[in-house]
Amino acid sequence: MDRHILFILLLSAFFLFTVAIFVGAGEKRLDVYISVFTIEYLALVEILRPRRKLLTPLRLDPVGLGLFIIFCFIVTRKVVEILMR
Amino acid sequence: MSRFATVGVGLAGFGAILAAFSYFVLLSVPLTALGLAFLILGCVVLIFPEYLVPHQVVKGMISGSVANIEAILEEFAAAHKAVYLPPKDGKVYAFVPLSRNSFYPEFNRIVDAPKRIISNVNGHPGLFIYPPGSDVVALSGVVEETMGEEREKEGKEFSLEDFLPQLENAISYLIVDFAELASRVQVSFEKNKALLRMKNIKLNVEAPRFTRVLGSPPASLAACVIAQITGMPVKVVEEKGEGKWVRVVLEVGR
Repeated sequence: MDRHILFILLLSAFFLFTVAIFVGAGEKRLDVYISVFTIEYLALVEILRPRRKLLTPLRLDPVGLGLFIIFCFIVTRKVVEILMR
Repeated sequence: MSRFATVGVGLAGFGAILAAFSYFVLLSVPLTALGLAFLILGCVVLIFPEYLVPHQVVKGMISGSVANIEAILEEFAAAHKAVYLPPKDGKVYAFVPLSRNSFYPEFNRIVDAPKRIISNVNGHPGLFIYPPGSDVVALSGVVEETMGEEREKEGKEFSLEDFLPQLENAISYLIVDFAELASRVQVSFEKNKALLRMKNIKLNVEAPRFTRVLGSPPASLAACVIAQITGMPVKVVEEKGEGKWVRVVLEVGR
């Protein structure tokens, strides 16, 4: 199977399973969902390495970069929350 | 709009609406997450290239071209290392000197010489070869502009280190992701030399003269990328197998 199609299928399956499992576990925090989505996306990109239109000149993956920035924001907010307690 | 773009816009649009509606109206976190999942999937489909050239096609293209060039090099008994020239009209050519002593004419004269198969540069015969890597670089769309040329026009001094992140990303993307010629590439730079380490080379072509003169196909591809990006001449000076890895040394500059 073409790795691009495989990438999309696996990513869709991972996302759906994540939502299903978290709903089953009663998870109500949106940042947990986003963090897991980010990890799943970055892991799959690293394993399957699909071709993507990257941002020049550093050839950055725009979706990966966006998710990583959001992930960093979530982590920073959590760290600040813990420190402020 | 391409098929990928239509599907991407549809998924991203649906995901964004679902996420916003679930978050602000339904106040449901799981549905918001589902909307975000659709949004991410849509964006992923949107960033896929419009035309996905299968790696088998790229490998076939390289193998065919290598066989033709091997025959030409055999015919002329070329033995000296080729110089990959900065692109002209978006194409990278390689100059192979044919004189008995390994004399390379002045660089500017090579660049300005007419690009015929057999050419004479300042009294020195040589071959102008169109390496397979040149087409692969163009096909991948990885190099949008020759940065070296731009900097030269601006009158700026530049060295190989100025192109470090671009070169590292472009070489790795082309050899590992686009052409799938190796499973891993490590790039480092040392003065005017680019050092490449490639793991598990996946293209084995029987072309000893091509390898001796122009370097192995992955090394040739890397030389084309460096010439395209830096606008400087490149020579594959050394290639050595180290177990699963192959170490390539490329000399860059005039």
